Amino acid sequence: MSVIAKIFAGSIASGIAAQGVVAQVTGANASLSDRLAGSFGYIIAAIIILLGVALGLADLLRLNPKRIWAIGSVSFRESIRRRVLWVTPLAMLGIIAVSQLSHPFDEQDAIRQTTKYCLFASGVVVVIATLILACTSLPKEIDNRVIYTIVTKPATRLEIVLGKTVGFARTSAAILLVMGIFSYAYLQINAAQLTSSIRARLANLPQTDQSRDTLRHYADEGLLQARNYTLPAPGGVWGVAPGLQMYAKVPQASDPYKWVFGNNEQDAIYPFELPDDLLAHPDTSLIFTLNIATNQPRPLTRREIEAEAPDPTATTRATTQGVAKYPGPPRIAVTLLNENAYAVVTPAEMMDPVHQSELKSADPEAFKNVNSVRLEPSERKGVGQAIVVVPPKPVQEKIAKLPPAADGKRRIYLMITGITLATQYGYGANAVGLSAQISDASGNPMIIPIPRTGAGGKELPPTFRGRLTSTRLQQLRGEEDRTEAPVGVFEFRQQGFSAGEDEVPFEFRTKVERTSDAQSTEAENMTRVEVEIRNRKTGYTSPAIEMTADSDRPTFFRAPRAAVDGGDFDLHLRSRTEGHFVGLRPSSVAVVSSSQSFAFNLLKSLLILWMLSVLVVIISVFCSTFVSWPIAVVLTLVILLGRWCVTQLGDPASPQQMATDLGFVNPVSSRVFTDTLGALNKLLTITAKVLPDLDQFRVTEDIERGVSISTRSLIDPLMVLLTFGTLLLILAYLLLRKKEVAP
Amino acid sequence: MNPANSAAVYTKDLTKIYKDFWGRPKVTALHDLNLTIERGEVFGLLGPNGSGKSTTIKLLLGLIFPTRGVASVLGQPAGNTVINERIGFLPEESYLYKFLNGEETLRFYGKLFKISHRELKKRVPLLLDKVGLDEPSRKRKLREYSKGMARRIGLAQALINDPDLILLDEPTTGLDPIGTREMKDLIVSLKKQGKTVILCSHLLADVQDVCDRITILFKGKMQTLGDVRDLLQVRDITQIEAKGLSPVQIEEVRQFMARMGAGNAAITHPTTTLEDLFIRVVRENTPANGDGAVAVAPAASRS
Repeated sequence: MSVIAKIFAGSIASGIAAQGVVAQVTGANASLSDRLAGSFGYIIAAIIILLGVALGLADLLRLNPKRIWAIGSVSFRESIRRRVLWVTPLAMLGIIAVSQLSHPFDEQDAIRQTTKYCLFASGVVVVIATLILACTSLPKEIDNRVIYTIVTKPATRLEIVLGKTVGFARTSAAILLVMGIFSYAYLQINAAQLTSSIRARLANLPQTDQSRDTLRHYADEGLLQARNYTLPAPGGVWGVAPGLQMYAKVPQASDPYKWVFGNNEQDAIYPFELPDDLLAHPDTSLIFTLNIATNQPRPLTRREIEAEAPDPTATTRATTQGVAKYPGPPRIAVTLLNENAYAVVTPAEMMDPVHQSELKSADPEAFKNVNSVRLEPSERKGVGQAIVVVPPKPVQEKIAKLPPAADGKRRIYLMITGITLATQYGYGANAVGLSAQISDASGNPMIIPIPRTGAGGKELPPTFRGRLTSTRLQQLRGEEDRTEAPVGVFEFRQQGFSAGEDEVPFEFRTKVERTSDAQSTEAENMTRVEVEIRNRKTGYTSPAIEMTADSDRPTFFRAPRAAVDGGDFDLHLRSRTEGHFVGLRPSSVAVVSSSQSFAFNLLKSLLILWMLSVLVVIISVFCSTFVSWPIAVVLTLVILLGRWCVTQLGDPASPQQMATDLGFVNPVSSRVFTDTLGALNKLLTITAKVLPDLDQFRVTEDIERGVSISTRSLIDPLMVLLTFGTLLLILAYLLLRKKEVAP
Repeated sequence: MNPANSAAVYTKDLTKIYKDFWGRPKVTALHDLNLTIERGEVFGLLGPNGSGKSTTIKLLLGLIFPTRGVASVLGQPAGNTVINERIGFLPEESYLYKFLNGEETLRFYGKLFKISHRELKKRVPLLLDKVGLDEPSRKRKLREYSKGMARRIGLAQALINDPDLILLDEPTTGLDPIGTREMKDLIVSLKKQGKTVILCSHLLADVQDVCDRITILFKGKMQTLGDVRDLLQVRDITQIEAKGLSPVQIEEVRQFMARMGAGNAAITHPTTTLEDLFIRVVRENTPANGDGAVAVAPAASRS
């Protein structure tokens, strides 16, 4: 334990005691109910399967594909003879009209939009057609008694359910086939026209133009592409290399620290695995010890002074002429995140015991939170320390209730954000330590160190992240001064990667946000981005490659082969236009390793759409077994969109916060409100878990960007279809099995 | 032998009570029906509308489920899909897919019986001939069929699997007298092939002509059951038929009857049925085919 930690050890104990929190030993019960809630879907599935097998074994054994196909053929023929395919010309006309009336930015955007329209129209047509057909089929047959002549034949009710599904699945395949052929032809015609327009533009473009590489790529490869990528090391789990790190400057082997900017611009995130037995103690508190280097190399700029302490009465801007105002003492804010990088314990729930004495509040339960912790000693250049305590209440109520990760481990992530302006924060090897304080058998506090190690005792590396946008992109501030420009480091770790040509094509995607100043001065300017690639194996660093980038439009550039050969290289990316914030994620930069046929990609998109339509058919058939067709249509839509709606409602994870926001002062009414909201939240979450996840049916996402649709994108919807679809088919059979079909 | 196994149809205390939304009894459609129909007989289910005839048929076919009691068909519990392989059913109206044509309809139902494509190729035209649907009619959609044609294709689908038990619900509804006669002839021929036929009708003359036994249902209860001849016989009247008697001889018979104590004996010439008269007239006015058989015009189409 450091000197400061020892000095303030007493404060820690008193601070914890001051809270007067006696955590209830509810961990075991809560985890059981949570586990039950978590496995609710599996329990329901098991019950349905058992019921299906127990009640329908005889019918299952009699299952005959010939009969299923025969019933399916009649349903298919019915759809065709009801002229369902007549909706496709209407959809085609719609696509042509909308694509002709739209105003794309450029050729690539035009083809992207048209692709989107084609698939959107195909999806709408196929989903609506199958929804109506499948919802009306069975109720109509019962109503007009055609079902009499089916169920009095040797066809089992299981075969009837399956036959209907097969029949309407064939119908949707027919619709998609027609729409697919049209889409392919229409896109090819459009692409041919647009590519010749690109060639004409390219011929008149100066050799130094930064968009030349991108246009050349389209002229060579065509606009209808299906590119395969080599991406940076996979991201998502903070414990492993996330593929993208954000720094104030590129880390050097000679520098023991990795530097990030303050002003809430960048964060350092440290992962920890928590032993379950530690969390079982009701009085466990967590103590983080932080040793962070700081550097304040320059005085504040005029804008920073304004931002730090705006003067509402000032009529002119503050001036720094003749006054070198340096930033204040380095401060940090600390938050605990969960596996998905969402806040679990907020700064307001944690304690800064070092500065506890500064607290002016008379409330005996108040404590100094970690919204703004001053590093001690506070120096412009040096190493400052801080202690952050997570008291027993949030440990028990938040951390102990965290669902374990897929590998069974319970992980938390300490996010440290430097908040002082014009300050760089350096994180060395021992920047963060964690220990837990529990009471021994005689009630004396006991400190247990928790190492930052993962599987095999390997140290879990920290992640350095940029400020997140609402779409969870990491922001990279644009800066004309290269030494002041933050850098995004994309880590490529592809073993055995070899470049085929002298130059390797890369693709860059971003979302650019501009400050109001930048918009007024550089509204027409594109965002300048600079890239250099360092081969970690050979030490070769490419010359800086400059390009212009814009939101949601891919930019292509080429790097020398030497920079990427071997596959172990870092790509350093800086935004060089002041006031332009470039949004990045690990997949923002990728090597274009190969390309696939667009027709095949379109086929894969249509296959995903088809799986979606089959899911719609199954839900519709299920609903139509027990309600009339208009209600079946509504119910099908509710089942289809239920999960998405729950997601859109958002996660009311902090009912307490909502109670505060809504002004509940009375503790009883506040408790009633939070408990009700919590229960509602749980109910919605559980309900959503048994509904199909339509997010897995990503139809347009890849194809419109010219990206090859991965096998994973096909397997995910297939799994939804197989699991949810099979269970619903069993349910439909069970409902129809004992249904009196004579009105 | 257990009648549930040996009989074509066996019911014991078969009851169907329709309930309302809250599960309260609303209508008792069938009440404690005890019935045994032997294999190979033509059995008539008679009764006015709402008497429980159709309910009985639906229960035997598994379209609805009994509230209480048991029903077995060809030795298996009613509604068992396995036994449906041996059952043919003609519903009271031809509930068929209107967008299919005659041939497609039969092929579809044939496939439900797993009849091979080759077999269907032979069987479908034969059946269509049997029920009197001519070549052009076979290619027309069912929605264009007249009521009589729809009954014919309905009958064909009921016979596609060469069933052992045939349930015919109002088979002659919508048929012209010739069609009615053909239907009755067909029922008789089915009986000759050893098939069991259950006829559900309120056209009493039809039932009388073809049924061996009948039951009369009323208000969901069986009122009477027995052999048609026995039930219809008027035991205190004796009928004597003779051919070629002269008026003098008739007068002598009348005097003889008076001497025997039958003072008001009725001696008249018998009348034929209107159905017989109609068929005779039509046949006499229809040109004969080359083989001498009388051509019967197919039922007129709606168009």
